[in-house]
Amino acid sequence: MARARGGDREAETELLLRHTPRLARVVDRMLGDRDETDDVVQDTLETALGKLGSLRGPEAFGGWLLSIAVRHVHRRLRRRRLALAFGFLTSAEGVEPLEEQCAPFATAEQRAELALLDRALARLAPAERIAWTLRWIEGLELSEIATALDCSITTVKRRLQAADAEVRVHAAREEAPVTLDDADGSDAADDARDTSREGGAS
Amino acid sequence: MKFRTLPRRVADVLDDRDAETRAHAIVRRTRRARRRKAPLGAIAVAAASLVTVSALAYRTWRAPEPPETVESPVVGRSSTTLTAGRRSFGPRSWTEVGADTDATLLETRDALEIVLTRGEVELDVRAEERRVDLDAGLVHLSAIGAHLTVVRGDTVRGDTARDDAVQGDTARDDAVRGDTVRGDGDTVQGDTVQGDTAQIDTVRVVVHEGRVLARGEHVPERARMLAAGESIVVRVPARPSSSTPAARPSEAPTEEEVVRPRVPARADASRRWRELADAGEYREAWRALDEVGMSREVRAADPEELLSLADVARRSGHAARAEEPLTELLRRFPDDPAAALGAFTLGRLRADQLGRPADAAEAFERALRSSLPSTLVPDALARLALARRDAGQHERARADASRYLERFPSGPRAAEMRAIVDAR
Repeated sequence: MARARGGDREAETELLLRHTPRLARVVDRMLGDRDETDDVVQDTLETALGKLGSLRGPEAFGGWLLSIAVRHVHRRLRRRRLALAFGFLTSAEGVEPLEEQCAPFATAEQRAELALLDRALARLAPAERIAWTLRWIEGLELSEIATALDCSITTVKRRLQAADAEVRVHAAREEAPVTLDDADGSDAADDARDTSREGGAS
Repeated sequence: MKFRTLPRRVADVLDDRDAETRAHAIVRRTRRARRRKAPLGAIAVAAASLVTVSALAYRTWRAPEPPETVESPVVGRSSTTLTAGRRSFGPRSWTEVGADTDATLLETRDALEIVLTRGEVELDVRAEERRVDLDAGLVHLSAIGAHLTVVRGDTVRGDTARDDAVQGDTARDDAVRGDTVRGDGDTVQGDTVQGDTAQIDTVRVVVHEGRVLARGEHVPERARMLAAGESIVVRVPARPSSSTPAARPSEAPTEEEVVRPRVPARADASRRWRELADAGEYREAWRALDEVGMSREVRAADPEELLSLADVARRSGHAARAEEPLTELLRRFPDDPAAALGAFTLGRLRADQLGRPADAAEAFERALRSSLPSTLVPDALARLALARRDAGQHERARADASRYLERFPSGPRAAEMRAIVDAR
């Protein structure tokens, strides 16, 4: 990191290569469109390289990169949503639904649930969708999501709750052959852990 | 929240959609875009343009002088001046300041233009900030006090930059006629016009001091800022043959010659596909590439460009055509860091899109033998095992899968590898 900040191009490239695959994966999950993902990741890297000097701790690079990417993704999702609302787009062209992104070993039931989830996520406001995706698709902790969204953990939780409710309503409406379970206790444990890390921030 | 069949982390049942490979391509594009946007580059270009315009304005303002022929070229001595007439080589414009058997050291106080005709040339540029334009058959060094060493090359002809630089070949040939500088003996010859050919020439610019902006349609990404200690190799198509009799100095160029564009349409298309590829417009890039000819571009491309060519073909739906730049990359640049990535991409192409698992396995094996980025190694090893299995090489597939499991027991493709190992 120190070398990269000093303008060492090899170090910069090495730094980018270390973080970009994960970043591309996460952005891809949020956008579902390869071309848009590539654009967003490139914009993110360019922004990051331009502001590398302003980064305080080298260990924060990954989270900082994600927060830049999230801003780009948010903008794109909002634009996409508006275009759909005003009829400029009849469908999210180029976007691959989750069930088409699944691994070859995924079962038919998992594919069905992914399809349901994809339709539910499409109905969410961009900020809620991003929070939900980072939490349940990527498995990030609340504190990481709060950093990426540049908000408090409380706000993240509120968004997740709103998104959960919408997903549940959607699943019920579709009478999907799946049930949603949020009472496994592990969520509460995670929340407690994250809240304690938050140190009272709101 | 938890779904009934989906894992707690949904991404565990999602494909990574080539994120690793795409990430490498994105990083490459970012680096290029960043180089293009470098503010220092813009400042250098602006400064160099100002210098060039000022020099041209100054020359235009001065009263025209009758053309002169080469009078007394003196060679092989330090601080000698090439007096070839102001129109072509005013004594103020090109000074030979030193020479030995390995190099010819030249210094220019005006914009300097060198026409490449044959062979390889290495320009050792000692400079403050300046610009080297490497266009079709030309090296145009524009800066006051520019200072370069022709290190190698047997047919470099020099000329000061001036308006007729945009004129036809005949006019230029005449203007620079008789001014061949030989790197091997510092001979400045009289009327000799070296045998120009249409073959590709190679120019290597090595910067020893200061910073140089190298620009031109054959420069990777069209422009590259070089700092002291950096170098660039550019393959430049030589200018067409000048075996036709050169026009007399006093003859004005014909209208056709005057309006002939300096950069041919083909070069425009060549530049366009790169720009479009960098912008991620692969379909448009393919169309531009089609105009200029894939094979032609492949022959002249550097390692990064070869990867770009493959990207354009693959992403525009012409997977089969992506094989040519990748195999060329492995053939011409086997030791370049890009070769490992090229081999990996070639393996994926052959396995996933061309249905040739045996060839794919060969490529993956090569990628693993090369310096493949560590993040791609697990995937390459897994793909090697799968390709061998699909090619019917079951024993070897099992061995590769075992190797994967030893190195990455909880890797993302461990389940698939176990299935290969357990298959009987």
